[in-house]
Amino acid sequence: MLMLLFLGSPPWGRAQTSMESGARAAALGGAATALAHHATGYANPATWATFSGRAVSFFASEAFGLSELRLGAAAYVEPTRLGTFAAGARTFGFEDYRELHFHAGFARGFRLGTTRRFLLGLGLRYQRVSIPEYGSAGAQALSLGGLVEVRPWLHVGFQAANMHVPKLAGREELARTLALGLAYRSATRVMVVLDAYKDVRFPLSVRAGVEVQPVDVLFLRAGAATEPARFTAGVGLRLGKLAADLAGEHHAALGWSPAVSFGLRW
Amino acid sequence: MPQQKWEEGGRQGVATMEDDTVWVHEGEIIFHTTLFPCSVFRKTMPHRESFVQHLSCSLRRSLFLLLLSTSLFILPISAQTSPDTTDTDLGVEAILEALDETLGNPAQLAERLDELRARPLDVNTASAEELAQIPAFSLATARRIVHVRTTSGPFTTLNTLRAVEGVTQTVLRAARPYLTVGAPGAGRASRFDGLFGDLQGEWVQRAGRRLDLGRGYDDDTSHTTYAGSPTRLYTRFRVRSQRHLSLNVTLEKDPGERFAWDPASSVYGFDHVTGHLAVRDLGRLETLVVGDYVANFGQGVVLWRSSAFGKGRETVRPLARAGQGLVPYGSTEENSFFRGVAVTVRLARGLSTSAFVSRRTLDATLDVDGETEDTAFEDLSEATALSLSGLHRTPTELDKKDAVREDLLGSHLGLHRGAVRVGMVGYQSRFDHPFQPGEAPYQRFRFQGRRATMGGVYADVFLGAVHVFGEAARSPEGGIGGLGGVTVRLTNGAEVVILARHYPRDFVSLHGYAFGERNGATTNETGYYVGLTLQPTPTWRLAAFFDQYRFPWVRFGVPRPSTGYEAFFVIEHRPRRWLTFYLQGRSETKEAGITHIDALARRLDALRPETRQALRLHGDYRFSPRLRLRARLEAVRFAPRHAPDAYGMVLYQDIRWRLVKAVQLDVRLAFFDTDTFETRVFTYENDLLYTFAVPAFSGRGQRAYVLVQWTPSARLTLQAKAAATRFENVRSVGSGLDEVEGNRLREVRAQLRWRF
Repeated sequence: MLMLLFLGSPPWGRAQTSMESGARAAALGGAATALAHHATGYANPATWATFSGRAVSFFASEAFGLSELRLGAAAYVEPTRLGTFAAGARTFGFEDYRELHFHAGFARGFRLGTTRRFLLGLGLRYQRVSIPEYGSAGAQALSLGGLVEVRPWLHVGFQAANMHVPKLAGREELARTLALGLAYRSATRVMVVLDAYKDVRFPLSVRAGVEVQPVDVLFLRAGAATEPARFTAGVGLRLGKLAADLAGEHHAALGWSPAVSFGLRW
Repeated sequence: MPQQKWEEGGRQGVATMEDDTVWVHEGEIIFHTTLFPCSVFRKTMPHRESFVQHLSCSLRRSLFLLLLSTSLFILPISAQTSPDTTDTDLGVEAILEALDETLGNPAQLAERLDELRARPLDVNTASAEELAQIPAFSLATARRIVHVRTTSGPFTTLNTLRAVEGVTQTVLRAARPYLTVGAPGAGRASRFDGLFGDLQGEWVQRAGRRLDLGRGYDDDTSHTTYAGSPTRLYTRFRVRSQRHLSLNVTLEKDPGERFAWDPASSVYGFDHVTGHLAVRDLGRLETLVVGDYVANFGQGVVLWRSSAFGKGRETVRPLARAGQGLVPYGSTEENSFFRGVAVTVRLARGLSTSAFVSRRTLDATLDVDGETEDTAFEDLSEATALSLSGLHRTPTELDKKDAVREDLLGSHLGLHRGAVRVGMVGYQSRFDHPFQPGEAPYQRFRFQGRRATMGGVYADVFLGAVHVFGEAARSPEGGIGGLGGVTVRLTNGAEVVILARHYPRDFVSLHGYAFGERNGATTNETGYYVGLTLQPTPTWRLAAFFDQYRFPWVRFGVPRPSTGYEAFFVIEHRPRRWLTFYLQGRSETKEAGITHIDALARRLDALRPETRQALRLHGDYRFSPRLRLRARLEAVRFAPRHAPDAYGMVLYQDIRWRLVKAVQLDVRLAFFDTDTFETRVFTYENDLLYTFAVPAFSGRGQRAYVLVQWTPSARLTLQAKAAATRFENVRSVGSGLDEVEGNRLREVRAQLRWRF
């Protein structure tokens, strides 16, 4: 089954699941393109420009409860006068298949004659895959994203990744994706997110999630997505500068995938 | 909502504040201003005609202070955001976007709209027929504008058009790019000394080519190849006065066509050469064209050589057409024009007549009766079909070039009195080769012979909010056909149209382009159309149509008489001037021809209903005058009966960014994924000025383009576009001589426009 997972889904093709962008995004069905304050920047590098202070985030997941599909990631965000810089690393897999990612990015806002900001972000990612019997190979991934507050209750975002068609070992193409998303805040304590996510080689995936904040420190989340069809849920805690998120994703055939994130903003 | 009364130069109104935008009301007229004080305000005020320009700086300051003071106390959150001071040019792209993909020649229509935008109509001199060319205006509205102008004097600003019934705020906003206000009292000049007044010249030079070429461009001459290079060249030189004079030369070479000087085959460097010299509005002489022209009369049943809007997002207004009469021609389309002399003379007030002669050659397939080398038999050769591609790249295409000559003589008589507008139009064509279309059943009622005579009558009656229109004609083969309809304006923003057309199987209109399911094919069709537009609030617009049709005779690929219907809706929400969403749905079911194998293994021609549905979600957001974002998700379903469904989708993101004042960037990234050709997706693209691009995509892949526009001065515009489409899981793209090895199609184009 592991071989099927790897062979049937090329590197980054696993972005078709929700488990790549942190536990908060995972709980929202992976609909994170228009989410602000999202330290990994995986779903949209422009989100780095929404940070007003430094942030660090740690994330771990285990797809379908299989230890061979464990993922661990760390990200750091540093706002400056020029813009916001970000960096991070990620590891995925096990001894017979290992993916290592190192990313760096930059995001900033453009006012364009207004007092608001149009946020643009650029993420550079070096990805290296090692398979002991076959050796290792690397490729450079590139993603560009935009995020804007259309109205105080509506954010829209987009992200395009790997338009330069990078390939691992000159053969295995990294996923080229286009995602459009919106985040609608119907009230101060309720937010709905919706993404249309297209990997050029896979069917369109529609992702949606809702986040409810019953009390100041607690967030309840649920989501769903297509291609593949899955259901997600999770909770989040905010205690001052600290944040902790827990998420689970359920696939009808493959079962549950847990994820957890810890973050610190100062 | 904070309010403040204002008074200025005899005008008065109320200024209100919403969020951080000041809305200035004068009666029903509303403008929005900005936070900025006077000095900045001058630069950012987009409405040139707006009375706000006449407001004193002190008032602007007071508005500014009002805003500042109230926002400090009332709107602390919104004070963090600034207003959107977008321009009013929201209409042209929406109109082009709405062009139906089945339209015969949308490029011509797009070019006409671009030209109209480049040289807006003067509301104080334009005729009703001219004003009706603006997509936002129906003919009835255009007539009311002329009536108000005649009875109440010229318009002083565009905003005063709001006084005309039917010109709502939304209508005026959509029409504004095509309108200007001339000096009051200027009227229609009738003296010859005005002929050369205000002459303006324009030179457009365009070049482009594909970077990935098919085998038609191989050097290997052992198989058929194209005669020329893959470069497309276009040159247009035009000199016009404001109203009276137009001189135009347009030259074009399509990809694959040779660039050579060969008068024997009518190739003068460029393959397509068109031009005209036209004079308008000189005393009783309404129009005189020497050279190339088109003739658009009535509803297009007899004569309509331009494209026209058909079924689309505008569900009511374009249905009742307003034939402009004789129009000088200078477009790249190589078939839909006449060549000769045309004149329209005003006989009396409201009464005019036109006469036009044309001699031109057409591309056609000739069936030479064996003795091809014997010129004595050449006259016996028969034309089996016209070739309308306009491409002359291969020996076969070159053989068809100018194969048939048509001599045409036509006339028109039009009377416009009060609420009635009637006209008669007719022509006689003679071909130097007789048409003999073939023996197949679908060809049975096609035009045959050497001579074609066609005539018709049309009428428009305006009864308050009701406009009744129609046209009936007799075709060369004797068939009687036509269309009739009525539009009713219920309230401002609510309109209904009901239209019926009947083009029998033996009704063949050689030069007509009337409304129908197959827009432009004015034959073998009967149908009923009902369209509705509602605007319940200024921010919501709903439009829908239902069209049912029947083809009483077989068609190519459809072996029996067939039927179909189409339903369409669009719900558009525009909560702010700078923010638009719409949801659009379309479903069409029609019968298509298939080959059926029965129980005895016999092949039977049969019909099969096929349904094509499309649902589109679209958003358009103008962050500021310098940045516009646009996104779309569209899904398509094709459901043939007793066969599996197929699906398609397209997802795209557009960015338009004015980097500096003179440089604008348009970027798009689109992903498409379709199961079959029937689920192909169409997307309008920003393109070079005077061009039009709605490419269709099938298969799986991505499309991206970058369009850069540099305007170093008001006279000079430079544009360049680079586009690339990349398909997945294919080894070649295209077919025939255009089949390209690999999975990419790349194209570059550039254009220079110089005004002098």
